[in-house]
Amino acid sequence: MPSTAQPWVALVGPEVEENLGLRQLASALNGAGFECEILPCNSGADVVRVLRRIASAATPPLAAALSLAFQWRALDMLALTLALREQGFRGHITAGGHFGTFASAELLRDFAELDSICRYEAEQTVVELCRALRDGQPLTQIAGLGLRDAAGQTMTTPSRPPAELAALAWPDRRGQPTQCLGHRISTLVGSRGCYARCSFCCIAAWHGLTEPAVRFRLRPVDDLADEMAWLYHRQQTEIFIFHDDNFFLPRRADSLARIHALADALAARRVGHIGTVVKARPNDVARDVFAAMQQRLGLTRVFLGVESDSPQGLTTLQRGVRQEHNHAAMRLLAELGIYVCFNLLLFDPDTSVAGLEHNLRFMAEHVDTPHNFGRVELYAGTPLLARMQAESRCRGDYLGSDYDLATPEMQRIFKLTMRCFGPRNFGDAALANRLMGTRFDVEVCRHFHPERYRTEWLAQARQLSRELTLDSISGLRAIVEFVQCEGPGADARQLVTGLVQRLRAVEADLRQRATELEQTLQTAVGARCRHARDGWADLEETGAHHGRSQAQASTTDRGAQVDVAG
Amino acid sequence: MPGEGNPSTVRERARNHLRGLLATSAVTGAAAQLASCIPVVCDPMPPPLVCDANQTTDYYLYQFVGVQAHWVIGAGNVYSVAVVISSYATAADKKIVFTANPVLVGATLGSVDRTETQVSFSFTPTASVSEVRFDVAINCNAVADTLRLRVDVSGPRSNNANIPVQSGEIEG
Repeated sequence: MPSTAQPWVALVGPEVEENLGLRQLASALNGAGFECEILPCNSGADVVRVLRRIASAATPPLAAALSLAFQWRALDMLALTLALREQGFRGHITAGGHFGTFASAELLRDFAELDSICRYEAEQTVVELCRALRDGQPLTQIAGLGLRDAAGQTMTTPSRPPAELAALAWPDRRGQPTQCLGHRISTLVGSRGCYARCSFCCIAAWHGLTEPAVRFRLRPVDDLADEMAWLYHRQQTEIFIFHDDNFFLPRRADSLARIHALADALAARRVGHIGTVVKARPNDVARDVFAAMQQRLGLTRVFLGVESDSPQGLTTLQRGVRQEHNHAAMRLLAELGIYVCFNLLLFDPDTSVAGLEHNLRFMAEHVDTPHNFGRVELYAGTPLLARMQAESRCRGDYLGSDYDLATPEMQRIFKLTMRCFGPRNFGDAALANRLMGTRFDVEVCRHFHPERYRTEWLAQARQLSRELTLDSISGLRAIVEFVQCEGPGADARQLVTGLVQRLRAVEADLRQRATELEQTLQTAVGARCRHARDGWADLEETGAHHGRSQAQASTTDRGAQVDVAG
Repeated sequence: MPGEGNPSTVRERARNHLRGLLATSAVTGAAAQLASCIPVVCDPMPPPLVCDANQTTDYYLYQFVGVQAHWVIGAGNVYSVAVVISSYATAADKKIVFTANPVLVGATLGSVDRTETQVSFSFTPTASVSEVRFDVAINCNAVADTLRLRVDVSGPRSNNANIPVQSGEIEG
């Protein structure tokens, strides 16, 4: 709990892994003299813990800043907003993030408890907001805010140009990092935005709407290398998960140059053996680029943005990618022996049975590659939502939009698919996600412990994915066949009952075998995995503290780079 | 940009959601814990958002809830049924919260273990019944509702054998 009268800020948001958004705000606030607590809100249940934490503080926070980055978490954060006021919290409540920005007018209209929205990137905005609150200054002079005016009408202050990434403080790294087989993991970014313009992506929409619109910004290599070196030497980070929406640049030569420059910079900073995880678009996958990633930056896994292998799907999603890109990328990554996983948006507003078949064939061609599938969702701010609204095809409200697929036949296939595949594909226990993690454990063992690694473990991981995929394809084909033969209105009771039982039985078997493989790896290496943070345990360890400890005080200090630059 | 929505509806949903969270906290006394080993997934697939006006049991089974049941042989060779009902709405979403123990027709309730996301219980079917019905109270985004389920117990019984759990409202 807060122990001093020093103004402090409660930063509330998901923290399953290090939340870079919140942690960069924490660094910015710390740099301006405000202490912060990062209060994890990973589930609805955490809302109550956040409430208790704030209510029991000796000194209430100057402001509570709530993450509204994820649209599907908005209800939790809005409930927290109501509860804070009902508990008598009188401090300022602000929110931010992608969804908060896009829905700022509606949120401020409907929730008087919410005082402001920090629109777009907020490192500078939140600092100026807190300074104004502390000093009793008007908020209308602060750029980048959504507010209410004196008459209670919602308004926005002028936009703030996106900051130079090199000028931003590094993310606060308080708390225990996650780890895989004893190797510490840090998340980070080398860029913001994405050069592509996919119709369903709120990130592309967000960066496209900034003023001036800057869709894609890179951190200077030296700044990125300094942070990685600091993490490597000070935090013992060995696995770097890049959350860049796309790690690569539009031109192959530029990507290659940046990879080599980063590798050289890390070597100059005495950064040793590391592993990296990146995201890529299929059209970015070139042999020399990924060979360099593998050989010089320890590439351990690629999350490939396939999304669809149907020509129609690629058009609807405005991927700017052709089927040939998907196929070539998968083929090349396999040749290089690089672990790849992907998601497929099997269902979109225009999906036909023929399009679905394209994607089923893609799944069949990559049966031993971990992947998942679902429906494209309509996120705030995206061109796809705008299109569906224009076509009057949306249900719901600004918190979330549902839609029917193009034909009754496809809608029926989608509904039956979700009915049967829900537990397999969605949520923390989803086996499709779990097997991505199991394979990652194998790859980390292969990368860091070649002397203990056994090729049969990789074969086992692939076999698990193969069995899951084949079972999924079989189930999907059964659903398609049923709807095509029986019609979209047919009674599916028998199909659903039988399929659900079969899918759950397969999952139970595969889950057990995945657990055994994971345990084998941990025994072989002699270390365990901790893939999720426990931010509340970290808070409890730090007891009454509500800001950075002395030991953590330099975690965002760029001066620290001197220590590690050699 | 987001659609207009209905202000009172959106606000009321948030308030109902809060009620549900507070009620759940009072019942369970603690927050849900994260699994110790959530896999590293860069972009977990989001569950589809489905807005159905009339939320039937089938809607929940279709979207958010998994049910499994199997026979268990006990002392005196008496068979009981073990049932597990789980919310598989993503942990961060909490659409479904179990708020009360199941109410059975055609059976005697045995042990019950209930958390906000899972209800495990057992029951012994009343002699001569062929079907056991059970209702489970839930909150869906803090709106009270009931799962209405049934199992056919007339078939052959063997230890650990699965029993299909059905809704009378299975989509069809």
